[in-house]
Amino acid sequence: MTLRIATATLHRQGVENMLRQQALLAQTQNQIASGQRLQSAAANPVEWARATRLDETLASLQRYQDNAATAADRLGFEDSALANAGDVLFRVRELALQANSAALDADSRRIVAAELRGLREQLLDIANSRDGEGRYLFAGSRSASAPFAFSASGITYNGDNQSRLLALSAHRQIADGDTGADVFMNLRSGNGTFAVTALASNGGQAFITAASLIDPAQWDGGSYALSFSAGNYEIRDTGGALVGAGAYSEGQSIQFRGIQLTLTGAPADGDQFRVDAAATQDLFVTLQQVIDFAQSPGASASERALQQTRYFGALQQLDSAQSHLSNLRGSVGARLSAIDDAGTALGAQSLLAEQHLAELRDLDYAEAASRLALQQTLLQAAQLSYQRVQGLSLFDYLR
Amino acid sequence: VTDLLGIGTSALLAYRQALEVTGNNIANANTPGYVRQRVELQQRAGATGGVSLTRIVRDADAILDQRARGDATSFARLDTFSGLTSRLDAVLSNPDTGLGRPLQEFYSALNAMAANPTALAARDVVLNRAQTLSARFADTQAQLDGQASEIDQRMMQTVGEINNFAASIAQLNGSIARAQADGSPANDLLDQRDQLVNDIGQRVGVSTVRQLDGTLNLYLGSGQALVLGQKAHALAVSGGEYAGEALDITYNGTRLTRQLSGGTLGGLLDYRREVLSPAMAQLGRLAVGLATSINDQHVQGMDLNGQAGSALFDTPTAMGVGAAGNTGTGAVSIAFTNANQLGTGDHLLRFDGSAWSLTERSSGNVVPMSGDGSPGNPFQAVGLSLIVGGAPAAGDQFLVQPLRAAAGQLDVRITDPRQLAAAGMPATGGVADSGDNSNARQLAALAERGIIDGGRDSISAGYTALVSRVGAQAQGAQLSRDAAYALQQQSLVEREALSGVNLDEEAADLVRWQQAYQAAAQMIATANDLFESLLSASRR
Repeated sequence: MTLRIATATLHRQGVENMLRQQALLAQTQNQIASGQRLQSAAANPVEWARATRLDETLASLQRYQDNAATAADRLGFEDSALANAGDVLFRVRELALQANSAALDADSRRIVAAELRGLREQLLDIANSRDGEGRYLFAGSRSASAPFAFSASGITYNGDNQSRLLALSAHRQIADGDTGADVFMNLRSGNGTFAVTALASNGGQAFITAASLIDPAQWDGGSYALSFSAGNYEIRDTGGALVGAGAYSEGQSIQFRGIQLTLTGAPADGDQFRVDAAATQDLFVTLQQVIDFAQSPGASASERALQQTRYFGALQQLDSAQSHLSNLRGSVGARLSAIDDAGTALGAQSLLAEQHLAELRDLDYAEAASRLALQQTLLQAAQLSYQRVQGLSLFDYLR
Repeated sequence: VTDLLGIGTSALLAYRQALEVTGNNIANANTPGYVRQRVELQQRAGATGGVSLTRIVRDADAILDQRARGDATSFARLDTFSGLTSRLDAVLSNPDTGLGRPLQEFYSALNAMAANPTALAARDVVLNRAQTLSARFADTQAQLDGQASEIDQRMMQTVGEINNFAASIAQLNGSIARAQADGSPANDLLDQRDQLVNDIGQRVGVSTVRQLDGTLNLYLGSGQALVLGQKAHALAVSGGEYAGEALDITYNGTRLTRQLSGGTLGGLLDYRREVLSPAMAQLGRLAVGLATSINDQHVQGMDLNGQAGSALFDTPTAMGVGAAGNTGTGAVSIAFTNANQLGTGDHLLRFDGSAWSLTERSSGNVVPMSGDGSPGNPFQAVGLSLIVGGAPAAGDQFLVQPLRAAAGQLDVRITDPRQLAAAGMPATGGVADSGDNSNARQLAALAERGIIDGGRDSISAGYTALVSRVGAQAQGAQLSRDAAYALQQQSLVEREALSGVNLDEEAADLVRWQQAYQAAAQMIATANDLFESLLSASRR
């Protein structure tokens, strides 16, 4: 403690006290005006860096949430398109059953066929449907032009196999749709495992009424010929080796290689049915087969038998197409619910990040207001003490 | 009676002088550098000798002065350093001027393009955000460049002031030596000189040595003399060692920049070396990292026209800067090959007449390079490729400082939104109007990918590191500044306690000397009365 204090020191210290209090007051005022605790990184570099990282986290969470919303929108479009396609197939199946009735006269048959053609158009329309942005839903990456078109050989697919992915996190991506190839083109013929066809030259009246896989372990995916001769049947593989044989009795099932066939009607000698592993077949061909069947019931008994086998095959394919579509819808639904879950998780993470950010960055107004009041008092005290001290002078008494 | 008159007269003279000294103290109570003076009185020889004013003492203490000056030097350095660092901190951390938000918006736009790769609106947003980002990089670069040139200007100005003050001190040394030889104390000149030394001390760290003849020698902290007796030695400002580099301070042609410390000059130089230059390099590295990461991914994609993507940003380039002493005509061009290997330090590329070598500028450590420096097989090191050309002479050196201006070069090259390569390039060749988004997805994923600093930091994280580093420096500087301020105040108070004027004390002195003067006058009146009575007695 010095005993002697220069007048200039007193003056300077008094002024500096006021300036310091004013600076603190201004800082608090800034915080209150901006609502921000950290005015710049210098206020607290560590917390500032954490807050900035949270900003980044929030921005990336927002991106993933945007992606989730976009993917959900697109999948919503696909889901409704698949539902419509399912409705079409349901109606096709009804009409196919109707067309199989022997009581149907030629006019009605024409009407049924016309409706079936209309349904095929409708299915094509669905296959060429667009998303909200005017891009084709089922075109893969070639979404600028309609993916499905009529051509001489039926319907051709001009899209590609690239479905679009959207990121739901740094490590998780989700397809926001399925390609037309997967939805409409790459279906399996027959029951999905194998298909049974009758040779067009068959003269008998036997036709297939049931064909199913009973033991997948035995089925080897090969091609087999079931031929009849003198009330007996035999089954040979493509190499001509005998796989099975027996006496044919109508309605009794024939089993080989894990599959089971049931035929009705009497076959002629030399009649042959082929069993092949299911091939790729598009939905429009299946519809065309139903239309063909509906248009021509067959003039003779043997032709009707052939038609019956075709009818059976078409129904099987319709069934497998329907299950294909419902599987797709299931997958879309699973993705939608995954997106929902991800959205919930992203929302929760955002909320957490926002809370942390608020803790780091937002001003505690109650604290700031009381600090402001305190600083105000201190400034007033500094002003008052300056005034008092400066008012003391011996010269005042030397008059 | 004569004795009494003599005593009275001596007292009158002494107290009038004492009153004058007190008056002078009062008058100069607020004069910077003024040192309080006081009179020393002494009884004159003999029982009736009276009083004499032997000398007027200057209440200065060399040790207190030196400490106050040293503390003021430290404070001036930290005040300058902290002021500049706080300004940089404010520029970088302000969300409206910083890079954080535009970076996120850019990546979000890429993500939106991935969600809707064929929509021109989404692509326009990407270009727009890229331009905003590029402009923000350029703005930040301009801010840093502005600070660099402000430092150059303040250096020139400060060096000019130091030279002026030093010249004045040399001059005062002459006057003081002459006055001292004449036996006069020349207190006013000493005050002036001390004040000038303090003024220099505010600008750069100095030490003083007082000579027997009353002159004062003034040395820089590193030992070079600014004032020797009556001769001043000037500091000078010259261009950097390499063309276009920041200014250096020289003394007799020798570069002193790295040795100067303290004062505003020390603060400017420390800020430039510790904060500004690293910040510029870090910013440049972010710009290079952004440009190369985005471009490298973008060229792998396919645009809406079915063409392969082209570079979205101009990748910054740089040239090696030849040393002022180079005698050959060599040239070094620098390109960036690998952002994650880039450091922020400078390098020197030296030609020894047959081979080139690369060293770290700060440590002098040799950095191994591959390649032969030809355009076909450039030198490769620290994420750079260096191509040397021309005819360098042995001993020629080039400064490799490619990041310093890089953030200003990040222009957006693509203007047609259709040329943004959102789709992946199919193996079978390009198709127009593809709805694929794989490349856009990859581009958006760069937001969180480690790109710089050995692949540890994303661009955003790198920016955060830059800002929090400057923030920590600003915070530390502020704390040190406040501490230095307290010390400076303390030493100032101590110095003023001795050398400052206290008006109450002077008022008391005024009363004291006035009363003494009045008493002395009374003494003369009494002597007069005595003399009168003597005269009248003898008249009778």
